[in-house]
Amino acid sequence: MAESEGREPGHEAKLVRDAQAGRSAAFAELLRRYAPRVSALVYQLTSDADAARDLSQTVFLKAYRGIRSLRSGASLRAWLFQIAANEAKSFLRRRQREREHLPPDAQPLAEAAAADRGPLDRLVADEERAAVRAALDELPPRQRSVLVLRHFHGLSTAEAAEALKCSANAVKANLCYALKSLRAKLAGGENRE
Amino acid sequence: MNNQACEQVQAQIGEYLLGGLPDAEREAIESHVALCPRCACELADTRRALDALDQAGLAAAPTGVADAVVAGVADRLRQGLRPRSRFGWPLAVAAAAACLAVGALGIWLGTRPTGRDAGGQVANERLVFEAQAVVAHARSVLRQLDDVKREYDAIGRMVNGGPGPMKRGDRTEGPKVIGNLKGVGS
Repeated sequence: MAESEGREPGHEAKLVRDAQAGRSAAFAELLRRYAPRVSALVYQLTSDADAARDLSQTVFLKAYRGIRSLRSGASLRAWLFQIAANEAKSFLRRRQREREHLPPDAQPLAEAAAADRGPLDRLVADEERAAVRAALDELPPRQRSVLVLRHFHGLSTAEAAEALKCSANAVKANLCYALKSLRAKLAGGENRE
Repeated sequence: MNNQACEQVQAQIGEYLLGGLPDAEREAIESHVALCPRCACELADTRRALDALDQAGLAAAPTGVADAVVAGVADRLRQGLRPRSRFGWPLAVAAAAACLAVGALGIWLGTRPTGRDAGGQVANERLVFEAQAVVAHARSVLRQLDDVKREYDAIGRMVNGGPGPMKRGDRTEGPKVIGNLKGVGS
């Protein structure tokens, strides 16, 4: 994806303009281009395959409805990622509230449901992966978003700041805290073993 | 190595590993780490943490998710979802306000005493006067509608990066910027 964006920025800009003019075919092409990355981002932010599917659909439907508000020359990727990050944040907040209202006995069931990451992942999951995911899950949403956008999606500090509506310094600080926490959690896990 | 230098380096290790530093800062970190075992250790730990993330199977959503997203969204588009119109909610609000105002006047005129009881001449004069009031009010509502539209366009131009007429293809839905998603599709 990154390569294709780099090779044909003019083509993507044209697709955006066409989509803004109401041409569904242009939006469908953008959808095909970005669906893998947006769904990956939502998955990385929620650790939930169902949420990745449902929230990503919401992201694109919102993008379709609001594409005329995208400034000329603005980054479509940053815009989509921002919608996705907001959707993921709302989802995590809702999930947190639901868990708080569950009786204590039901909490492990909720945890198990959240850990259900699809049949393929269940097959390949091992303890180390589970530990990394658990460590990621424990990060505050902003730190997690910064880490995921910078590490998995290769966004620069400025791009991540644009996507998360915060300053470049906030991105740098959150990245630093996120890595520090991740290191500590992973080291803690190793020490326990 | 002094603590302050170590703190600065350790705060930048993430950016360093993710390629976010300019050459000069990158080289400064490399020089420092070469002489500082503590920071070298931090660097190695952070690198391991990032490697562990790579191994966690999170690089992509599970198989089939992206395809399901494309299919689901395409389905909704086929059902007739449309992008928002040029003026979006402000115009809708203003139009609703105008309808309400005209409707309220209509009800008032329909339910008030007609004046026939008080004599034909006076009643007719009052009717003409009230009709003029309705027309004046309708004009006022239209002016307000126009003001709302003008203000909305002005904010749109401001957000789009400075004065100048809004061009076709510019953002057309109002004063939203990347990050301000209030109202997008909700």
